[in-house]
Amino acid sequence: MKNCLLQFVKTKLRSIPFRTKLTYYLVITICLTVLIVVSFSYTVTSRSIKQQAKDMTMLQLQQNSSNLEDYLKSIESISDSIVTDRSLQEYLSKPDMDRVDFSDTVDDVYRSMSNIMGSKRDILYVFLFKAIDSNVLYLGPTKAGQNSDFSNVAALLFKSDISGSPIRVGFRQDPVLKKKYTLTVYQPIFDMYRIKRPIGMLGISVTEDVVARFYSNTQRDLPLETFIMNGQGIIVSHTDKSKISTNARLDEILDKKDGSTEIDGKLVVYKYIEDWDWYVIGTLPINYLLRDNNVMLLAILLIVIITVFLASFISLLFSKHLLRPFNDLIYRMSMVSRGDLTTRINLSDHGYDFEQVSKGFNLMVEQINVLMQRIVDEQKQLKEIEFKALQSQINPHFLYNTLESIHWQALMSGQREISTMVKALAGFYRITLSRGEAIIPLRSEWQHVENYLTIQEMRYKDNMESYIDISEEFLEVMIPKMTLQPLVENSIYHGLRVKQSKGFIKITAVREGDDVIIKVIDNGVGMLPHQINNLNRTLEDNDTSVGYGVRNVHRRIQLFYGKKYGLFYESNEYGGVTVNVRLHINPVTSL
Amino acid sequence: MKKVLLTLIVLIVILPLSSCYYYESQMGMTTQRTQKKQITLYSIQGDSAVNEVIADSVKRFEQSNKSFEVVHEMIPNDLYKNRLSVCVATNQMPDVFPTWSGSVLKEYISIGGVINLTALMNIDGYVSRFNEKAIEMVTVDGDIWGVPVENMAIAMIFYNKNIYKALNLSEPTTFTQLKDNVKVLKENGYIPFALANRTGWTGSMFYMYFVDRLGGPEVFDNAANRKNSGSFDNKVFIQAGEMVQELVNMGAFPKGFNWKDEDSGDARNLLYNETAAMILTGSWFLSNVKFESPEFYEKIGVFPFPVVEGGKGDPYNTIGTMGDNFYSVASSCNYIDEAFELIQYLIDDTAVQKRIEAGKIPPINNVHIKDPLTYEVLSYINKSPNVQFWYDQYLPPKLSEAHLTLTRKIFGGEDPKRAAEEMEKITQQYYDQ
Repeated sequence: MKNCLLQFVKTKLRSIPFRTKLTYYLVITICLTVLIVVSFSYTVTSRSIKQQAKDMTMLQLQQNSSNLEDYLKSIESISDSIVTDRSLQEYLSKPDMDRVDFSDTVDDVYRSMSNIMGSKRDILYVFLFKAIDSNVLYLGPTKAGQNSDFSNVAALLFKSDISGSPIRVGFRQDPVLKKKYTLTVYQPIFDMYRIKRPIGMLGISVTEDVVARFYSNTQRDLPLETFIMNGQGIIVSHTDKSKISTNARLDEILDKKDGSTEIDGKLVVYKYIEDWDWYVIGTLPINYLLRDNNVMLLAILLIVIITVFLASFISLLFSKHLLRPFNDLIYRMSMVSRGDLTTRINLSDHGYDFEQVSKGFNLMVEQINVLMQRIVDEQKQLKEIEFKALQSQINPHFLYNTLESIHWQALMSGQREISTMVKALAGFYRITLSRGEAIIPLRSEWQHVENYLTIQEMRYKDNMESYIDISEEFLEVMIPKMTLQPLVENSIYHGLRVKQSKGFIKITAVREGDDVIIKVIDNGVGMLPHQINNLNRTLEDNDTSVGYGVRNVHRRIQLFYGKKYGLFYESNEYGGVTVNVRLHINPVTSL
Repeated sequence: MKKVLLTLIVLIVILPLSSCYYYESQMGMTTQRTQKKQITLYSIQGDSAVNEVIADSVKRFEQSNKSFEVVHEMIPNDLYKNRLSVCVATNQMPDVFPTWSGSVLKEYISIGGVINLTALMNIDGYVSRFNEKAIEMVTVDGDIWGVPVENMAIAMIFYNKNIYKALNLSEPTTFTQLKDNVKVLKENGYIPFALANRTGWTGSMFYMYFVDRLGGPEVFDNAANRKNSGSFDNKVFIQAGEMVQELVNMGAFPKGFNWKDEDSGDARNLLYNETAAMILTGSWFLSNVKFESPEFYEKIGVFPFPVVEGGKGDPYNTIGTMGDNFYSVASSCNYIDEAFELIQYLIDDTAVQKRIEAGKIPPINNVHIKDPLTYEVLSYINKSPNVQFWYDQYLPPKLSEAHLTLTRKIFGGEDPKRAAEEMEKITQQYYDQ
């Protein structure tokens, strides 16, 4: 089945004209090239787009997160300068008291705190927790009505493993300003003179908004979603506040490293901030990146379609142009095959190869023509030779003279019959053996055949009689010599002689267009249809075994007049056979 | 034929290239944004309600002026003065900024730092929208230099009605009655007055009222403006200091009040958790409560500062301001008309309505106030023959600071006479320079 199909396709392909094939091949080649080029550039661009997006996002995240880190570090470092501040130490080492000098100390502490607030614009509040009496100095937005709670500070401060390094508490609902969502850096403060005795805690809080400013995407047309996730995979800071405290569902990237990956159709780029155990994360929907690629895909499709059209058009033009010399060649070939050997071709305009082809073709046709001509000439010569050989078999003069003598002697002795007969015989041979023209006027041929008939009538006095009835107009028609005599002879020997009753031979001529048909009619025994057919066919054969005389006549006529002329046998209404001799009315004398 | 082929080749080459370019421009590598014209606006961080009103006004301004962008910065009250002086010193004045009028504004006028708004204010009689007393506060030598935007606020005594009722107290009309109430409250474990006096201006209200009730507004006017041989060591100032100390010694104020911070809400918290019964503060207190502890609002009662027996002052006199924040346009501003328009947005009808809802009294004529407490405050303002502007904002910065420091010291136990002399000494030095 498969083979059948293959075969079918093969045959189909083979039957397609060369030009169409050429067009197909060209179109396919061009389309393939275009597809390869375009798909290559598509792959390259889309890859570079992705990479670019990744790099850009990473770069932005790196910038953002390093800014953020710097900011947070700077907040941590603010407290460094004041932990050893004298008035701060003094304030923290004594419980509150209503005294003017204490009030001054508190003022100093406030001033320090105020400096902290002033040094960084984005600080929400600063507070100082005193360990002795849990009093708090606070600078920041009003905490009135907010049920502020500093108990967590005490808890942190009285932990056994407390050290001098800042305690970072990531985003959560602020214990002091309940309505805010903040991160706080707690700086434990130790007694300067007694190592390892915490006397207070400085707290600096920053709202989530401030931190969000560092990473939030400023390019609004880019759907880059950035947020901060803590080490447990919980979002701690997000521009969309409703997502805070929800799980980011990005557990697979919790490896405390930077990197990028693709999750749920999103490009996720992340940067780890070690101090806070945070990941600054940027996500970009991949289909946003590929949005442009889809446009490109469409463009490619368009290009391919345009290319196919263009390619088809161009290929058609191309093939037409390329195949013009072939068409010419094919046309000339067909002319040659129809027998026109005079045709010539000139394809030198189409390039060197076609010049060679046309040269070869012309040479070939030329040579065929020469060969053909030679063969025709040779044949003609051969026939002439054959004929002349026949003629030369008899020595004519001797025969004439003898016959002339016989004629006169018979006439003088009163032998009229013999005289007539001999005279006819002499006349017969005069023409037969005359070495003149091979082609003679019908008038002469008439005399010739009449002489012959005279002799034969005398021989078969009781068996036959003959009439010759040819109108004047045909008498100048040229006819090969000895054409009618063999026909008449055939009629007598094969038709009349074997017949019991008396028969006749009649020779007439009719005109048919430019041809004249001489009819030799007998009423002899006749022939069966298949015999006639056989005979007619044999005339065309070169088979020498059958009816040499008749065929020779036929061939000679054809040699002189052409293929359509010659003999044709048919039965006639007298029961005998009619031989039609077709001649041209104005024979080409040159032949 | 060749042309067609060429076109094809060009197409094949150019199309992917052009798409590359397309991507590049899409990736935002070359995008440029049209820079908007900027107007910087400072505002003093008030309670959220006011912040929202201002933010909303800014937004409306930006919507109708698409080519402008307002860079709005809110600065906490106590840091504000300092920030402004830094801005002047570094020549980075915001385009639009508030002052409390008084000495600060006068100083900016004197250095040519603000624009004379008289012409702009008189377009279509815009000025008539405002309370005359408020406009008066920003009028210097007949020219208007600022636009009153925020609250008209006077200092009054707000108290917890529940506590008063429980202890069977009544609103005092005299200082003696007040002291009695303080005693009763103290005996019952309440803090009579909530006060956070770290910055001094809160305690200063007591001092100013005592001065006013004892000697009338002329005493301060004479002393501050150095006329009619007025001085800060006047007997009235000393007496006022003594009365302050009387209250301090009675334990009328919470422990450590002198370093409690007003902006942090330390004082109000004492009221909200009902450990304190009263507070002498500006009427902005009402909007604070509305925002911070709405359930407490119902418990608030209000009465004017009581009369001091034998004092010369009119009992209806009040201390306060007729506009609180007055917005001026810096002379460094490039878009004066737009800046003024921005100010107009801050106090347009929408903003006025919102301020009223937030419990404020906008400094414009014909305000319709439904809230009974606010209305009561407004009626006191209307009744008041004289609204004494806060000393600390009326006085030049140096004297203002001296006043606040010394008053705070009086609260801390400093001898009132010494304090008064010190004040007078500083004032004389200041004017002698």
